[in-house]
Formats: sequence, C-alpha cells, structure tokens
Amino acid sequence: MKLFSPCFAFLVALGLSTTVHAADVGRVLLAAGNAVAIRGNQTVSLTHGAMIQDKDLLRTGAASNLQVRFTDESIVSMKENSELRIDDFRFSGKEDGSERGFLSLLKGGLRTVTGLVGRSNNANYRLSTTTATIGIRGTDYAATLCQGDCRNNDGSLAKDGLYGRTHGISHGTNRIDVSNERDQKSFGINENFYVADAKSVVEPLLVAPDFVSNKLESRKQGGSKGESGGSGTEQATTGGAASESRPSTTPEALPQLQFVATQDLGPQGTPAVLQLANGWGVVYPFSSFAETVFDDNNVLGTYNGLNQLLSYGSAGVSPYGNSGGAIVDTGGHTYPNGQVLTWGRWTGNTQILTLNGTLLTNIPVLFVTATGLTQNDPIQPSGGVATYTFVGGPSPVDAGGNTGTLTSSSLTLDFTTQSAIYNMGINFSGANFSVSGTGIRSTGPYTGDFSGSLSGSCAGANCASPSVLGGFDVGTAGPNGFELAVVSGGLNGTLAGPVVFLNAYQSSGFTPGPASKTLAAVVANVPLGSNRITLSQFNGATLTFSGSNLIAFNSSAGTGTFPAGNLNSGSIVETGSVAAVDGSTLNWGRWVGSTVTVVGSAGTYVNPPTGLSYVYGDRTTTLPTSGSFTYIYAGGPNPVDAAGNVGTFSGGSFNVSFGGTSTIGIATPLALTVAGANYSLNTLCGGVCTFGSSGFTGTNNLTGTCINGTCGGSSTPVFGALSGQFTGASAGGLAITGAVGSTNVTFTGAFKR
Amino acid sequence: MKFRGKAVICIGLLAILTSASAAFAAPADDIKALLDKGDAAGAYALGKNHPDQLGNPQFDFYFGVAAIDSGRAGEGVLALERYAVNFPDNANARLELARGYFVMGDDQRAREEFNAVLNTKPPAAVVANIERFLDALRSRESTYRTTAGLFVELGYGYDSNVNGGVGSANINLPVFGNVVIGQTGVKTKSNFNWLAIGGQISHPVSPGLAVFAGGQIDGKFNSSGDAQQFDQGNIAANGGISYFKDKNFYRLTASRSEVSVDYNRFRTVSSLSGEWLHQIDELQTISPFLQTAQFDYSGNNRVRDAEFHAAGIGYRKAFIDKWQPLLTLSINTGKEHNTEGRPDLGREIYGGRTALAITPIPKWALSVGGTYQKSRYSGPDLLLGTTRSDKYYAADAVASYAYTRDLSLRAELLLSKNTSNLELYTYRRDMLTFKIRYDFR
Repeated sequence: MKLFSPCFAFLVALGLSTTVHAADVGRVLLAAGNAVAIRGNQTVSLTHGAMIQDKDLLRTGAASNLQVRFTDESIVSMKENSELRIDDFRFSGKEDGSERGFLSLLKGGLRTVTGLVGRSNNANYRLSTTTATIGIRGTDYAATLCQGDCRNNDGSLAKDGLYGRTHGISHGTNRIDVSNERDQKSFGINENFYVADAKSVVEPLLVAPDFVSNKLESRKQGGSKGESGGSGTEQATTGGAASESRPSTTPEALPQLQFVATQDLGPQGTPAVLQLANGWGVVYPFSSFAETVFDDNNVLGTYNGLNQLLSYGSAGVSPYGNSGGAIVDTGGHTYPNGQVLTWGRWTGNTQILTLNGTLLTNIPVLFVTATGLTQNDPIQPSGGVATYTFVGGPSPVDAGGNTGTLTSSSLTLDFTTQSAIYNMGINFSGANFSVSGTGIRSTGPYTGDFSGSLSGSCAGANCASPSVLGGFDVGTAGPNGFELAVVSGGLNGTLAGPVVFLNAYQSSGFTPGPASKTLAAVVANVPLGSNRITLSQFNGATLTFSGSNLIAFNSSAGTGTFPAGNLNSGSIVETGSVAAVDGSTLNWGRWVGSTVTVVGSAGTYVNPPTGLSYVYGDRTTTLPTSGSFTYIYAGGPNPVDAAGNVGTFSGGSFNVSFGGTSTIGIATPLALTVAGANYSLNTLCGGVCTFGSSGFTGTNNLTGTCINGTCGGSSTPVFGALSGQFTGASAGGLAITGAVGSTNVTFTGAFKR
Repeated sequence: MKFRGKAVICIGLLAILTSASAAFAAPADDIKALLDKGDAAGAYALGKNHPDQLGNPQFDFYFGVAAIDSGRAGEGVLALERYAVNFPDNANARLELARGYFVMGDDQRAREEFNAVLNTKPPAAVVANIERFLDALRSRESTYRTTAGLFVELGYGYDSNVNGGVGSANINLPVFGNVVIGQTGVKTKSNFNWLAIGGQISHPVSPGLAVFAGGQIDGKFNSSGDAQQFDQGNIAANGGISYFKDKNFYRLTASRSEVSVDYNRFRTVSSLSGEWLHQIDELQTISPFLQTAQFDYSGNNRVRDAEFHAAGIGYRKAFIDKWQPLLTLSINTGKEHNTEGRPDLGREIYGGRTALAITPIPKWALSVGGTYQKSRYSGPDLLLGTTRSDKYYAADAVASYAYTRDLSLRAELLLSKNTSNLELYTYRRDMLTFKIRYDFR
C-alpha cells in the first residue's frame, strides 16, 4: 500500500483519478464561485473533480454554480445561493431495486438530467422540498424553491413556493410528478408548475418565471478549471430554426381544387367547354314538297362526338327520326360567338315518323345541329332588317337521293314587318331551279321562326314541272336572336320527287328600323258560332298597313286561316293614335263596308254589322318586373252592338302591378253608352286577374251594371269578357277588347300609363 | 534496487498514464472529427464512453454540441454551460448554448443568449441565423403569450395555363370521338399580378391550451385579355383551439374559404380538421390528421357540391447539418362524396408529398417538393360513359431571401401535370412567381 501511495497521489495531482470511495456518489464537474459540501461537521470546498458523498449537503454561494455528476449518470446543476442535501443515494451500477436517489432541495434552485436511478423504479427517486416532492419518470427538469429570495424580471418579489418546469427529452416517459399533502399532478415536457406550500394545490403555469432558468451567475468568475475549448466556428452556424420540428400549419389534405375550366359545368351539368349540340333541325321529302322539324330545346336529339344528329324522338312517337345508315355530306360552321352549326345527310335505311304520324323509310334526310341554344330564344330585334351570307350546308337532295348544288341564295329578315324574303338557285342534273318567296312569323312546336312559300321555275328535262312551288322555314339563333339562320324547305322537284334543301347563314349586316307592330286588340261581332268573335293575341300576325291604318292581318299560319281579316275596299272610321310613355304609339280604327272580311274559327264572314275594331301598337319586348301603374283610357274606336248601333266609350282605368305574379284590375269603371244603355264595367276576374311574363291575355270575366236603353230603367247586372295586351318596348300601352251584355256590345280601347 | 524497482514501477505507471493522457486528449478531437462528418449520434456515443472527460472544457464543448445535435439537449446544455462558465466570452459557445436552450424549450434563456451574441456584432451569416431562431421563438411564444402578425405580399408571375385547359381544342373522347372544345377550355397563358393580405392571432387561455384565428385575402389578376376571365380571388378564414401536452400537440381547426373566378363566387369550402402532432424527439415529428369538408359550388356547378372526408399522416425530420435540411413526408387519402346524385363527380383520392428545405447560404432558403395525387371517380361520366381516373403530379421549388427580418423576397416555381383517362381533363400547368412580402410582427 505504501509503495503505491505516492503514485496515487501523483495521479490525483494530475486530476485524472477515477477511483471512487464506497461512500462517494458523485463527482464535481463544475464548481464556480463558492461551492462547498457540508460533510458531517466538515465543510469541504468543492473543486472540479472533487468527490461527493452520500449525506453531503451541497451549498453554493452568491454568483456561484455547481454541477455534480452522480454515479447513475444523472447530473445536477445548482444555481447560486442554493442548498441540496443528499439524503440517500445508492447505485450499485445496475437497476436492481436497491438504488436510491433521495435528495432535498433546501434552498435555491437546480436543474437536473436524471439518470438510471428512478428510470425503471420511479419510487426510488425523489426531490423533496418544504412544499412538495418531485418524483420522476425519467426526464430533465428544473426546480426553484423561493423563500423570499426570488425576484421577477420587473424586480418584484415572487411569491414563495416551489416553481418548476419540465424540459426536453432525457430518458423514460419524460414526466415528473409533483405532490404534497393536498395534491398530486403530473407534468410533461415544457410544462410548468407552482406550489405555494405543502397544503396548497399544485398549479399548472402557462409559463415558468425567468428565475427558474439557470443564469450561470458564476460566469464572470470563471470556472474551476481553465482549459481552452474548441473554436467551434462551423458549429456556431449549424442547426438552424429548421431544427424546430413542430409544424405550424394546418394540414392541407384537400384535393387539388384550383379552377379548371374543362371541369366547369354548363346548365345541363356537363362540361361547359364541350360544344355539344343542344338543338337540331331536319328536312325530308314529304307530300308535295317537304317537312321541316326544328327542336331548339334539345328535347329529343342524340348526337355523336362530331355533333352530328343520330336520331331524334322516340320510336313510334311522332316526331321521330333515326339515321339508320351512313351520315354523309357533312360539314359545319363556327360563328363568331362560338356557336357551332353542324350538318349532314342521312342515307340508307332511314326511318321517319312525320308530324302527322306518317312513317317514311329509306328517304334522304338533311339535318343540322347547333350548339349554345338556349331554352328561351334571345329576344330578337323589335325592328330593323338583317341580311345574311350563306356559310354552308348539305347539298340539296331529291327524293331519289340525287344531290344537287346550291348556285345562289339570299336571305333577308325584316323584323319590322316580321317577314322573311328568300330566293335561291339550285342545279340538279337536268333540272335548274330558281325560286323566291316571302315568309311570315311562325310559332308553335317544331317550327322555325319564319315560314313562307316559294315559287319559281325549273329548267331542264329532269324537272317535274317548269313551274315550281315550294315552301321554306327559317330558324334563327344567336346572342341577339338573329345572327345564325338556317333555311330549310322543299320544292316540287325533279322527276325523282321533291327536292329538299337546308342552308346555313350568318348575319352580314343589320339596319335598324321601326319597331314591329302588334295587333293588340281586334274585335268584330259576326253571326258565326257563338255570334261573337273577340280576338286579342296577335303577336304572330302579319299586318298590312296603309299609312298608319291597318288594312289586313293574317295569322302566322297564312292567308285565309283564323284569325285574319281584310279591309278590302271598305273604309276606316274613328281612327286615332296616342303616344305612350315609353315612346311607343297606339293606333286604332274601325273597318266598315260591305267588303270587309273576317276569318274566324267557323269560317269567313263578310261585312260584319259591327264592322271590325282594332288597336295596334309597338311590339312589347319585355314586361317590367316590378312596379305598379295605372293605365288610363286614351281613346279608341266606338263600341258597337250586334245591331250595328254605334255608341261611345267615355273612360275608365286599370291598376297593373308587375312582379313575380303580376295583377290587373279595374281602377275606374269602364264607361260605355250604346243605344241609350249606360254600361259601368267595374270588376275583372272577380277582383284582379293574374298574368305572367307572357302578358295579359286570354278571356277574363268582366262584370258591371247597365241602366237605361235596352237595360231598362233600373240598374241591371251585366256580364262579359275582356282581354288585353301590353304594347310598347316597356309596356307603356295597354289595348283591351271585350264584349258585354245581351246585345253583344263589342269594344276596344287604348290605355296608357 | 528496491528504490529502483519502485521507480520502475512508478515510471511504468507513468508510462501507462502518459499513454492514458494521450488518449485523454483524443476523445474531444475524435468527437469533433465525428461532428465534422455530420455524425452527431456517433460523437455523442463516443462522448458517453468517456464520462471521466466531463468537466474538461474542450471535451465539454464538443460533447455538448454532439448531445444537442443527437437529441440530448439537456445533457448538451449542461456541458456547454460548464464551458461557458469557464469561457464566458466565447461567442461560439454561447451560440451553441443558445441553440441548446432553444431545442430544450427554455425560450427565455435561448433569447438571452442569442441576443448576447448579437451584441457582439457577429458576421452577417450568424446574424441571419440568429434572427431565424428568434422568429421561431416568437412563433413558439404563442403557447404562452398572445401573439399576432400581419403580412402583405405582392407578386408578379407567369402562368402557362391559367384555366387548367387542354393543350389543343381538338381532343378525342369516348362515345363522341373527336370533339372540338370551346376556347375557354383551351389552355390560356398569361402574366399575372398577385396580391395577398393576411393575419393571424393566437391567445393562450390556460397552460397548453390556446385559441387562434387567422384570415387571408388574395387575388391573382391576369394580364392578358383572354385570361382575365379567369382572374381568381380567395377569401379564407380559420379559427380553432390547440392543446399542447408533453410531446403531443393537438389542434382543431375550423376554416372557410371562398374562391371566386372572374369576380363571381365559384366555390366555398368549409372544413373542420383535427391533427395530432407527436414529437418523437427534438428533430422528428409525426402528425396524423383527420379532415372533413363541405364543397359548395355556385351556378351551374352546384351539381359538384360534395362532402369530403380525409385522413393522413405527416412526418418531419430535421437534420443537423450546416445546410439545416428539413425533410417533410406526408400521405393522405380522402373521399369526395357528391351530394347531388352525381357519382361521376365524386372521387376517392390517394396522395402524397415530400419536400426538402435547406439553408445553403445565410439569409437564403431553398426548398423543393413533389406532390402526387390519384383520383378515382365514383361513377361513369354522365356524357362519356367512362369512369374518370386522374393522376396529378407537381414539382415545386421555392427560393427565398430575407432582405431584412421583416422584408423578404421569394421566387416560386411550380411544374404540374394532370393526366386523365379522359383527355378533356389532361393538362399541364407551369407557374413562376416572384413575390415580395412584408411582415408586421
């Protein structure tokens, strides 16, 4: 022993000793400032490398720090002015259940990275204070016991008690248990606590006071050992903020949701960018000429990817068509607004069920389809003339399937007169056609917007006749309702049968013109049917004027069809006009004379005893969608009874309210006198009539009273009917027509706002 | 002889100790060497084998760095504190110590040490790095202090396909064959201006529990006439609660955003998401999440209204390296259930993303990422009779430069491609954007 003592002393002098006495439980890693161990009655000054023994009381002075590494690899770092007593520390080098780590923080604060003691057997480690005990489940924590000696950052005195914080990851489950006589709580990483005294609850803190942190108060005094450390320049810039591994953004699992135009849907729930046809027209030889069927609501059509029509309708239900065979002679045209017309011809085993239910097979069928059609056609111009340029179409074809060539054509649509002018030249082998004609406004299902007749000549040996008759339909569309036009029809053709054609046009010019006129009210009393004709809805009628006088009107179905009328050589009396608030004009008059003809539902009648009263005005393009107005009587032809007695219309007014459901009612009774009988007509539809966007039309109940003349000396109830129609671009005028009483007094009148 | 013998023995011991002394110096050098090679874990393990070296300043310094970089910040900080007590003026040690405090979660001490280093007027590179730490500290303060921020962002860029349109108007589709699609569906390129304004606030209500709210308004305004119909705007707001406990962070977020196209509302998304972020260690996080959302379209697109449910998991790992790499991985799956009886517009989604961010030069940050998403629709297309199946690929790169702490410049590149079995939905879109951003902190 003696032999080796000098050597051992020498080793200690080198500061390299690793020898540990049985009672040694730790070694000083850092002793800065004043750090001592109270060991029994001795005070041992601590320096780097000094051994710590069980039961030692470790004490640091002001501006001092002490770090001790215990044999279980735990390290305790004591702050200045702190006292830590080692109550019982045992560690044999392994966790065999006998290990202990019982410490008492008597004063000040510490931070520790716990070691093997307590890692498996939590109960074997505890840090006791006067207010609470800290147990571990293996972690890094800091604790400070304040006893009138802790100050906040602002210099104020902190409340007494035990403060603590659990730091980052060390071993085990990274939690500490804080308990006292009253409470017990567990704290995880980065959680903070405070315990006022042994009988107070353990309070979680949002943030630990700054004094819980180790300030390295001894830094200015230097440590217990002075040896230069590494330069560490490169390390000084490593480990950026990216080391913070906690994401701060909300997870974004939503799918790619950026706007993709091809996924944008149209009204039918299909991609809007697909220029899919939604309307079609066909023409095929039938009867004398041809039959045209238009469907601009896409109710019936099926198409291929090229927008070519494959079929329409349902088998067995008129109208129906199936291409059956090949589609030839195809083409198309894209209009400036993006709408596309596509055309072609069905050949082979075609099947057609005509509008009247006739089954046709193996006939040539010309078709056209259109994209971008809207269910309600755009409002066409109220007046003006549009001219067109031919843009294409399938070749004309006769009933035998022979094709010809369109050599010329011109189309003009007059929206003022509501008429179409069309002429065309077609060459077939041995048959050169030249035809022209006019059309009028047409309405109804499967029709175009205009229809008319054609006449002309055919030259050549293949002509069925040198004198050619035919018909045509015009369908229009476009942003203003007229830019696209398709003309289809037929001629009494070649020797093989009728010739059909289908030609597409694009508007090449538009000349504004006066608004088209509408026959808003017309009435005559004739001995037909119920002895009374009262007509009011004539939007589709073609009107003929002499100056401002109406001299004829025809329904859209053509001459001689109900309703129609012709002044012929008669005269017009009681004419007049009035300007409405929207700039439109209402005109009226009454036809009289023996040549006046009226076409009613039961046939044609000449020279009605009442004559024929009319009011016409500018066509209404849109009705107001809101507002209430009073329409006051502004003039009109005189009322006349069935015997031909002419009376007077002295006034009255209507209240009209426009809206989702529009209403009309009589504001001031309509006052008429005919053959001494005074009529006061004060109630319509029992109060008010309702009407929609199409306007106030139809027959509506009219009631009132009558006195004197044929009505006798006392007031007598009378019954009748009344219809009306708004005129002018924004419904500035209202024309009414009606009949009332047993003498069939018929009347028309012009009212304005 | 005896004396000599004794001397020999002593000399022999000395020889051994001399040898030990040589070995004694080696661990610190070896640790440094391993750190230089980026092997922090190896350096730490080596240090742990030399407990006798603890307290040796040189050893403490390198062992401290190794401990911090390998996820043992508590030990690392204690080691660096020992060094710092001995060498209080060593800025490098204080910087490493500050970083240790930061990793350990001792924000107050981290800030003090960082500021102390800043006061020494270190090189610009070090200043930039410290400012990033200070920003991170500021954002972390939201767990215990009310924090708020606003930003304004202006940008200008180029978008090769502002409408996500197909490359050519002539495409081929099932049933229809060759189809000509409208001009609005054909890709339209344009330069664009970008404006974004946003803000957020977080308020802790009890330890670990905080409420937060945020919002952003942004707009992308195309320059070319044809593309202006695709100008897009976005108004988004979110709010929720977060709870932090141990190594776990929970967040419940309700959000609502409205996208407009050509100044008309296109779609509103209302969502609720819950996420759980679990910190594996100081450098790794794993984050599962659940999300449910309601898609509310306008106009003709209302038939696209859907409910969306998703789940996913993310993983982030920071690497200790001078370029400070941060790797992000995530996978997710979701189901978009159409509520308008249009299964062809509903889909199942499978996706993933990976991204790597680095800081190669002080004040500069770069990131690159890749996104993949597969969509399998729930029914045959109404028109085309084919069930749509899409694959979306995107590669993105971002370079940012912090001119000052509040003013930053940013360049963003996005290369994306959507393929589909229906050619109508196939498109490619590339976008390059330059942005300038100012943060009001």
